[in-house]
Parts: sequence; structure tokens; C-alpha cells
Amino acid sequence: MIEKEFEFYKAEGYTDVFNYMKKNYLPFAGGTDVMIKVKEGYLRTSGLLYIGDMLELKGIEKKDNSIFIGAAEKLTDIIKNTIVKENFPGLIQAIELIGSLQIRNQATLGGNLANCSPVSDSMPILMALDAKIHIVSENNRKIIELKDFPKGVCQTALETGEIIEKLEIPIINSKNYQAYRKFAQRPEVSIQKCSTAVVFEYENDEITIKKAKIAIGAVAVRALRCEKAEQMLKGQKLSPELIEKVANMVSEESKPISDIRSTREYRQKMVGEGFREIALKSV
Amino acid sequence: MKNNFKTVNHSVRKIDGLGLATGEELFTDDYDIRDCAVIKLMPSPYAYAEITDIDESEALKMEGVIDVLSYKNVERIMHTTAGQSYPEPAPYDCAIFDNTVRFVGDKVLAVIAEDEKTALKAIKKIKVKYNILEPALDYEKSEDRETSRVHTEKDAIQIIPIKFQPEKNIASEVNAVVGDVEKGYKESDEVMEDTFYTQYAHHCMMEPSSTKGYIDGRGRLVLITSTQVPFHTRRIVSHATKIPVSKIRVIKPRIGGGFGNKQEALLEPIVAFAVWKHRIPIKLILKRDEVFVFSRTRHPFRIKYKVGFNKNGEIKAIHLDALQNTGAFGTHALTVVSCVGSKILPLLNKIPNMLFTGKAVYTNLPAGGAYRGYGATQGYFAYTQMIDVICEKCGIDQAEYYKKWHIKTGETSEIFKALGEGKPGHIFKIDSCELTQCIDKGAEAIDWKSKKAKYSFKNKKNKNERYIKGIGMGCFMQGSSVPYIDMASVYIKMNDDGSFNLNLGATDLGTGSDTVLSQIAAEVLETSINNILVISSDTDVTPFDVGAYASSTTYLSGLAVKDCAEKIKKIIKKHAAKKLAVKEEDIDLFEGNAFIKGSKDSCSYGEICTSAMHIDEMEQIQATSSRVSKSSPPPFSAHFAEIVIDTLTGNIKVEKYVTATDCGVCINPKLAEGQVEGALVNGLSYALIEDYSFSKKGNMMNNGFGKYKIYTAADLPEIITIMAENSYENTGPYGAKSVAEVCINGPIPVIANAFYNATGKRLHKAPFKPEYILEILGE
Repeated sequence: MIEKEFEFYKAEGYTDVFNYMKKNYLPFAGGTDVMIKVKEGYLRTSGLLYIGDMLELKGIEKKDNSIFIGAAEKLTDIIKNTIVKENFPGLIQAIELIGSLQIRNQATLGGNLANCSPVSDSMPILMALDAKIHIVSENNRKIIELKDFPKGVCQTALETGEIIEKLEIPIINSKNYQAYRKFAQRPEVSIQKCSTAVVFEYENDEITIKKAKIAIGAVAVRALRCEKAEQMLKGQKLSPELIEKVANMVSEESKPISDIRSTREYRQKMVGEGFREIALKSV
Repeated sequence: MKNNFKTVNHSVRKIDGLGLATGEELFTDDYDIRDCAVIKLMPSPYAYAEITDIDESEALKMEGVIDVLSYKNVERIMHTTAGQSYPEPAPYDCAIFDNTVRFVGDKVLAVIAEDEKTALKAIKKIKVKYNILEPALDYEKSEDRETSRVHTEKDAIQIIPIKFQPEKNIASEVNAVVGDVEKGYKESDEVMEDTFYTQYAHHCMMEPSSTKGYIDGRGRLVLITSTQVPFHTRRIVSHATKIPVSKIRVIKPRIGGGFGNKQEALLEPIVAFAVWKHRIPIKLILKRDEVFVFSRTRHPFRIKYKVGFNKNGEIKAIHLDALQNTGAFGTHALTVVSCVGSKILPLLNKIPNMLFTGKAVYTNLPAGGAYRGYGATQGYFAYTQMIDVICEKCGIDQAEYYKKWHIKTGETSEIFKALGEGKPGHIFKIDSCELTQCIDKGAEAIDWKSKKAKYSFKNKKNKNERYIKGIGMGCFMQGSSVPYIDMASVYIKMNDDGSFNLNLGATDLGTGSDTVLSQIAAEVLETSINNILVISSDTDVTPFDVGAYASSTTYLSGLAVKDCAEKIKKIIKKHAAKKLAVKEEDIDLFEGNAFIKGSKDSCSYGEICTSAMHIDEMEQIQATSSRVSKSSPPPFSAHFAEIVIDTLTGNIKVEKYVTATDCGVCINPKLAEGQVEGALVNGLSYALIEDYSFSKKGNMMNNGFGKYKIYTAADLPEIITIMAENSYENTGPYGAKSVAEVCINGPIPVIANAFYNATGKRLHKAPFKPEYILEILGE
């Protein structure tokens, strides 16, 4: 007989979710992070609660100038979705770099955010897209800015009894450019050394930058927005000199460490290079 | 040369291919043995410590815990785990359990429990007290007086002279001299020297180290184990546990890759001791994090060259110096060091003065072992760049240089004699060498000359290009078996229906040797490969073979198979002649039948065997054969790589890689190409991304595939694989030489040469990670 490693329950709706979470069940959707952590003993739990098939957490829809993505939507389904493709090519670019095809078939966007690894590939681009997180608990609903969501390494703003319901990403109505650059040991199935995500929103002349949003990954305990670099681009047209200056500022705003994946110096340099590469491609 | 082979030189399907794909073939852990207990090893948290006390009382009280094994209750018998022929050229510097731990992850003790969970819980309840010692972590400083000595135990010994000097932290030392290098330097127009470093790496075979043992109905110990060396394992287990050889049976099931890692009796002595003591089935299967540190690794090296040459490129003298970090144990220490000289220096055999100095030193880091390439891979990093430097300085094209100077058919090298394995080597002549053909075909396939001129840093028009291209080349050799040390034997018997049992000592570890050796038997016996029934590597059933290493199986075990099959063929002819009432010389064998020459009168193999066994002679048609290798014919390979360097990120992308390889006749061309490409991918990954990172206390930080990355199919460049034509090795079976190792030697130096072509800078430290490349580009 196979010994039961942990209790397991499949939630059919919110009532189930909140009841079982009170019993300290750990909710999960794709399981690509949670299962490993539980099996390897990094996460202790009395039971696992599967929420991956709940209709409340599914669906991708356009409403009120925003796109809503259910927390339990699988990465592969997001990549294939036409509304996402039309509006957020940068997000698609980033999601395609998460894990392997097999992992993307299983993993969910909500799970990627809730896991909140500093090396998450979705976090920087979603931050640059000003995404918001809809959180639900037994008696409350709230919306928080994604940039306020990570609190540290695998630490989030989620409080006891709360789960992510969906993600809201505002549609950019003006002409814009989005891109994500990941630096890793090898192109596929690799955790990033660092990364840069950039979103440029242009004025009506389609050249002048109305608003620039830059986020970098794996350069601190959490992904960061580079606000000083963003300010430097506001109302400007890209020139080689400006790109150079901003790239240096991005590097300066990063606070990376040296670890087994790369060195502090390399990471600091690369987040700037990532910006330079994206900026040059945008023109 | 036209060969009219029927089975040999054809890409027949791997005989176990379908079974492996469907999961019907069995690996060690697939053998279902009832109530099999589990061993878990407690890893040492310290790089170097003496165990002063072990309190296992709490663990032993737990339900399901069977025993705790440690130096306290396991007899201390010094041995080496290196799976080599007796007497092993490796120090006897380990015991099954020791009261000293010598690297982080070394075994402190073993818990035997009814299941894994219980064993892990029990480990947590055992209290171990250590006297922590200062570890030796920098192998370049191992010999320094201030550095701790890793082996201070009195009972560590060498059993043959290998210059084992534990008081200096030296596991082994080897020198070889040809001519007089000092004289050679004086005769040279220019003398130069340089130093290179290669890193730790792991084999990353899919199946982890695994051993299962039980006691059979007659009280004997049966070990089912993932090994490359079943016979050496039986011998080493017997020595280390005092269980008589007669009481041990080692069975090798299907193996999920070895690459040298499993040329080691590492887990078997522990399991054997435990099973013998408790008389119950027990298994020990390492987890991947344990595999990285506790199983063997590739030895890191510092390689120095000093070379004297003339303006025309002629080398007058070379000194190759190899310093090896053997880690905590001297397994394969001497032999891997030796191969830096013996598998490299014969390549350009006209150098009159050669000196090779090699040394293996201990550290408190994971132990090295056998790994595809076996020292040659590390040494070629220095040697191949050295040739490149000479060519660049003398204005000679590298391809032309190799063609002029490489060893040719009919020639020999003094090094063959000067460097053996723990004893002097044996002189032999090169019987086949198509390296010139390989160089020409490879150069043509990649457009060597024009690209080299086009990409050269010397004519870069725009120095500010972000992406720059480069091209590099190099030539490599290896060996095929170890002369007068390696031995293989075979048994064949014939069955009623004309099929044959082929019982091989040889060890198929996923390489396809069962298939290749069946092809050789089928070719001799004029029958289909479907009529050859292979059993390999069961010490009770098959005769002795050293096992799968030193690129010896196709060559040496192939010779034994061919010899044995020829004996059977003779017996078949004798029986057929009697049956058909003609002389033996009037009999022809064809597609499973014996014919009278020039006539249609025939009888089938089935008829011959049936009458031999049941009607006429009343005897079993059978034969056995055993062969020792008398030479080690090198396979040769010419490699060319085209790379793109991203000067902003330091990323090197290999765009195209061409190999042209002479392995004699390919017994199975598809499997031979598989070996070439497998070795290439293995080498590319080693060159560009693989490395061990250690904490300051000697703890490996990336011991898992989440952090230790290897190349996958998605990471590969365009690969062109060329196999030389018309190469026939007369000393080998049907013209074959080896092919498994030689191509892993290429990527590190060839990429480094391409980097020079693009940038004018030399790389001295593998792997070529972006961080390192940016540092070099910034200089």
C-alpha cells in the first residue's frame, strides 16, 4: 500500500477554499512549485487544497479598459490567448521563458505570483505593465498594486485566509512597446541570473515617450521598478546618449548579490544591457 | 577498400531499444524484491573532521530501524573503489566506514530501515560528535607545509609503486621522458609557456548510482547493481567485506548511463556488508544531490606547457605538466593523470624531446574518478591552444600543420612505451590513421580557410560590432583499451533451431555494446542478428571481462566475440561436412545454412545442431574465447567550430560544429554517430556552463539540476558529423577501433581557438561563462 504523504482536497468553490484554509490546508493550482517544496520539506502543511479547476479562478476577459486573467489560468493558455497576445506581447515573451513546455502546461500565473520568487519571470513585466492583484478572502475583497505585492524572498502581501483571484492589467491605449530580456545559464529551462522588462508608452507623435516603465528581476530580494531611470525618459525621444544614460541608471538602481548563478558585477551590468538592448530594438 | 559486410557496418536497431522505450527492460530499482529494506547515508556536514563519538541509541529504539552501520561496527579493511584490474594503480585509501570524514557529503554512517522515511527520521536522531579539522581546499596549495594532510591514517597503502606520498598530500605521481627537453629548448628559435585550468564536472547520467542485494536460496549474496565493472566489483566487494568470491554473484541489469561514473565499487561494499550481516534484501539508491558529491566527478586540473619551436613551426621540445585535484580519495588518480600525457603527446609524434610530469594531490573536496575523456579532455585544453599559438606565430594554417605533423599509419610514438598505467606501456605501431582525410573533410564542411581569414580579429573593420564571429579547429586522439592489462572473454553455444547464445562479460551501459557485439557474432556465423541471444555481465553466467571503460568494448570484447564465433564456425563446418559427406573445406556457410561449395546441396543450422545434440555426435556445439589487447589503436577526430560572441553580455553561442572522426570501420554507423554526437554535446556543455561551486567551507552549492545546468537538445548548434571512409584497423574486429570518448576532447580548446580568432585573446579557465568572457574582453 502506498502511504499517504499528506491530506488532499479538491475545492469546488470559495466555501470549500475558506473552510479548508482554516484547517491549515495549503491552496495550490498548478503545483509546479508547491509540490516540490512540500516533497522536499521546505513547506510544511497538514494538507493540500487543489483550487486549479475552480471556475471563479478561471477565464481571460476584457472589461473596462483592462484585461482580467484568472489566477488558475495555465501559462500555455495565456500564451495562446488572442486578447493577451494583441495587448501584452511583452507578457507573452516573458511567460514563454518560464520553465519548460511541460511546466507551462501545468503552471498558473496566479501560482507564479503567489510563489513570489525573486527570479520569477512574470513579475518584472507585469510590474512594468502596472498590473493589479485581486485578492479574496472569506469576508473581504481587495485590489493591490503588483509592485506592492512582493515583500521579500517568497514573501507576499497575502494575509492568512487570502488567495489571489485574478490579475488586472490596464490596456495601454496609445502606441507602445513592450519587451522582456532574460539572462540565464542556457536559453531554456533555466532560472534567470537577472532580467529587464520595459514598457514605453508614446505620445501621439509615436516617438516621444509619454511614460516609461522599467522593472528588473533577480537583482534584490524582489523584482523592482527603476523609478529614477523611468523619470529620465519621461517626455524624451530616445537617442544613443539617452539610452546610455538610462542603462547606467538601471544598473545603478539594482542591488544584486553574488550567488551560484552569477556575480553581483555581472548582474548589475546586465540589467542595464537588457535595457539598452530593448531600447535599441524599439526604434 | 570495399567491404561486403552483411550485418557489420549496418545500422541495425539497438536490440534493447524497443524494450527501453516501452519500459519493459529493467533497471536496478525496477527489480521488485519483497520487503526490501533501505539504506540511507548520513552525509558529513564538514569538509574534514574526525568522528569522536556516535550515539545511535535513540535511532535503534525506533520501530522499523534495523541497524546503524559505522566505523564502530564495520571491520576496517582498506581498499580502493576504483574499478580497475588487479593490482589497481590506485592507493588503498578508504574503508567502508571511517572515523574520519574527508569532504562535505562523505559518508558518516548508514542507517538500515524498513523504509526510506524511517531511515531519514532515524538519521536525525543520531548524535555525532566531531573534532573539526582545517580542510585542504585549494589543490594548488595541497603540498604546502601549512596545508592539512588529508590522509594521516597509518593503514593507507599503495599495492604497486605509484608514488603514493600521503605525508605530502600526493596520491600519485608519474613522469615520462623522451629525449632531453632542455637540449631541445636550446635548439629552438622560441620558447614559451602558459597555464590552464579545468573544472569539476559531473557525468549527469540519468540513472543515479543504485545497488540492490539479497541472499539467494543457497545462502549466496546476489548484487543487482548499476555498474560498468561487474567483475571488478565482485573482487573489490569480496576484499572489502571478506565475503568469499564464491559467495558473491553480481548481476548488471540495464544501465541508465555511466560515462565512467560507475567504473567504481562505491555502493556495493556497503550494501554487501549490510545484506550479509542481516540476511535480508536491502537497497541503496542515491538521490541526485548525493550523486553530485558522493559519487565520482571529473578531476579538476592545472595544466602547464613549456614548448620550444622553430620559425617553421617545428616543435623541438615540449614539457607538459599536469596537476590534478583528486579530491578526498585517489580513485583513478594516477591513470587519469597519465592519460594527459599518453592520449595527447603521441598525436604529433615527431617531437624529439618530450617531458611529461603529472601529479595527483588530495583535497577535502569530492573525489574524482573516471569520466569520458579521462584526463585527455583536460590536457587538450592546453595542448590544442598551444598548437594554435605556434601556428599563429609562424603564420601556418592550423589544418595544414596538423596534416604535416600528425602520427601516420605505420608510425609509432615513444610515449606509448614511456607511459603505461602504473607500469611501463607497450610499444605498438599505428595500423590505421585517416586523420588527414578527417581534417580535409571537416575543413571543407565548414569552409575553414576563408572563414578563418574573414573572421580574424586582425582584419575587423568595425571594432564596435556587438556580435563578433570566430572559427577554431583542433585534432584529437584517444585509445582503444589498455594494452596487456585489459582482457575480455566470451562463451557461445548453439541451440536446436540454429540460434546462438552469446554470453558476454562485456558491459552494456546504454552504449549499445550488446547490439554491436551481436553484429560481430552474426557476421562471423553467417546468420541474422535475430539468431544471436545475448546475456551480458552476470558473474555467475558470463566469463570475465574488465568491463566498460577505456573505450575498450567494441575493440577488445569484439575481438573475443569474433575469435569465439570463428571457433563455432569451424565446428559447424565439421558437422556439416560429415552430414553432407564432403570435406570441411568444401563447405560454405550462408544465411544460416551449410552448402556444398558450388552446389545447392545444403543443411540448415537447425538440422546441424539438432543432429549434433540428439542424433549423431551427441555433443553441445560450444566454444569460449578470451583475448587480451596487444595494442591500443587510437581513434582520431578533427573538430571545427564557428562561434558568435556577444561582446555586451559575454555570451558565446556555438553556431556550427563539425566533427570528422576515424574510428576504423563503424560496426554500427548509427550508434557510432550517436557516440560522436553524445560526446560532443557532453563536451560543449562542459566547455560553456558546467561547474561545481563550493562555499568557503567546501560545501557544493549547486548539487541539483535546478542549479547545475547541462545542455539539452534545445541548446545545440548545427552539428555536422562525418565518419572517415576507408579506415580499416587490422588489429581490431572487422576493422573497428573505439569511438566513445575521443570527441569530448574537442569543444573546450576548439571554442577557445575560435575565441582567439575573433578577439585575439586567449582563454585559460573553463567553463567559458559570460561572466568570465566579459572579464577577458574587458582586459
